[in-house]
Amino acid sequence: MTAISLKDIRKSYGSLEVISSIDLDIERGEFVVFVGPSGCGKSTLLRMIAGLEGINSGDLMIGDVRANDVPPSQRGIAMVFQSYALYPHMDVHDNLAFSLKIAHVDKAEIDRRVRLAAEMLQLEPYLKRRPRQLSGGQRQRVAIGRAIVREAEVFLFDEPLSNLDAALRVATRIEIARLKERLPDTTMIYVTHDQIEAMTLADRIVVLNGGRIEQVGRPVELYDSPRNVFVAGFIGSPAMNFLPVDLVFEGDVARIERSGKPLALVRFAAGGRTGCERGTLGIRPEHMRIGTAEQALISGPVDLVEHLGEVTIAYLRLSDDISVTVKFERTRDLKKGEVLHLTADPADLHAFDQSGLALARPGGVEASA
Amino acid sequence: MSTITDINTAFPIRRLIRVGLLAAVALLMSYPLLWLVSSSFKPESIIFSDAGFDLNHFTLQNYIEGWNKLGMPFGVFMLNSAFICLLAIVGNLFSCSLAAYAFARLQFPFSRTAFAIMLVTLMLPMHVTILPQYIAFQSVGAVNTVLPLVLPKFFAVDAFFIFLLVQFIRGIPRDLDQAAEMDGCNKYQIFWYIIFPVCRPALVLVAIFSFLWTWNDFFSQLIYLSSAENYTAPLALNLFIDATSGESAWGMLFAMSLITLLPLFVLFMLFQRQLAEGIATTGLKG
Repeated sequence: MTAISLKDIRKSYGSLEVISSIDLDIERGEFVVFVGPSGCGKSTLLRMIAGLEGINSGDLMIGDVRANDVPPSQRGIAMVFQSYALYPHMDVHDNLAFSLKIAHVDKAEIDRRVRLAAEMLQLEPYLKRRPRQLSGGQRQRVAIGRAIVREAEVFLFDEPLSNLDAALRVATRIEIARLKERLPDTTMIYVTHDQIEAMTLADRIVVLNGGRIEQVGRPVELYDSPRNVFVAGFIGSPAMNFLPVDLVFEGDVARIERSGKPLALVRFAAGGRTGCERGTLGIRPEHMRIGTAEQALISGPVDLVEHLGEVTIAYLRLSDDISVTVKFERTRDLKKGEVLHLTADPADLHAFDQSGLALARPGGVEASA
Repeated sequence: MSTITDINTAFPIRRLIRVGLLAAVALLMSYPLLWLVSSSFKPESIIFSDAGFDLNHFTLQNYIEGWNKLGMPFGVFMLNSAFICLLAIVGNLFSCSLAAYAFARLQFPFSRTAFAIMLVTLMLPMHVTILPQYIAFQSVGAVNTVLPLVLPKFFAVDAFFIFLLVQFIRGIPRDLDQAAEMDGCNKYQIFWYIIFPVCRPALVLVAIFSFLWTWNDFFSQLIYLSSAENYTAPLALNLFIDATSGESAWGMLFAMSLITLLPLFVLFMLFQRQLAEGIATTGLKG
């Protein structure tokens, strides 16, 4: 069952269009994450669903109801703000109970729901404290608790972890994942710019850029089969390496040439196109391995090495002034200036045409030259 | 800081001179007040002839006589003043905060122009408005009642307080309003449950200044109040001075002046911390 449906949603401030024609269906109980760089419109879109921003055109359906003009409090939606937005003059109990008090819910029911939420989030010892007497993580939990007591069908999270330190962020992320398990029927929409949060929490990720949806899909799907250069570069850390190449279309098959030299192993689907055009070859840093000079896709001197213990990251400066990042498992002894010959499994390569769209791979990978 | 201490211990004479100088200036500044205090405890006859304070002449006569001198206890005038102050405070807190909320948070046509006009009234001298205001109140028969003194306070006429509160409310994160909106509040509920309580430090400041300015007001009370039973403390003090005969009761005047100052003193002691806090958080420099 569809919980929320966006149909050709648009938003502009004067002549500046910040959200352009968004279509998206979100199923009941789904955990959807909006990711994208700063200013891509992800928070605006979330606030439009919440009712805090107006919608210029299109339909926002919540359940079967067109909710464009329904006041925020009547949309059956609860929101966790980036700043938590806890009422500073109320203690934790009153913060949790406030929405119910406004809705004239009777006192016994308020107490029951507040206790339940406090128990779920281990907030019982702090019910009489003011927000300023709580730590960042506790404040975050109160903010989530405020959503829980409302028993809303949809939870919206606006970058809820961005104000926490690294360790607490991981702990709270796990708590949110557990919360989702305990509330399987609650639909959650989560905005973040942190792709680790997106990859770990989401059932589906919506990648936004410049007010448009670039791709919607399961986390692994986005990682394995990015639809275009933007998604390919945005998902994955360190980011995918891009090399300028020539694409030679031969009807069914597209070959790839780099500096006039064909990359023999690699084939993509040409989709009936013929001719030649400039394109991009994408290789993830973790998919490269050291090979011989003859096999090498890329050869270049090491410019910088980062030892993280778990992995070693090397930055290569190629002759044509392009930088390439390589990620090796565990510690690897690399020296600045040392020339590496790198190769990759053809199945792990991505090719994008001149307009930045990915070329399909099925049937395009050959086992050997 | 430590360098200053070092110099002080190294050169005690310098320190002595400095402290002496400061004490002298402090004494000079507070001399009129000290003179008022000492004169209120002196017999009338030696107030102007004896500048010092002689314990042999100590008397409470001025207080005892002054309290009942004006046909009714001086406490009546104090209560009149307190009543007007109370209404002025309630009026200002209610109306100025509501007006400030509208300016700071709501979108309405010509809000910027309205805000600018409101600020211009800050520069308007009271003497320009007092006459038309008097005529208006006279035509509705409200002269010689407290209405002209307190009614305007319920219509947010103190632009300074509105400005102060607007600045304070602008500093409150909008997320709070939006969270309250998500929680089901309308604009009035957002104001009443969220903005008003969060503004507490600024509201304390508004209440204290409302009290000070109303308690110390003489001019408008003199204009509007005409019968003695309605008189406030400042007007009653004025009755001790008889400009025509030249036989003013100075001793009693000073004694009652001191009593009139007491509430201000108590108020300052009670709210000293909040006052500083309010001034610090509203960005208003004293």
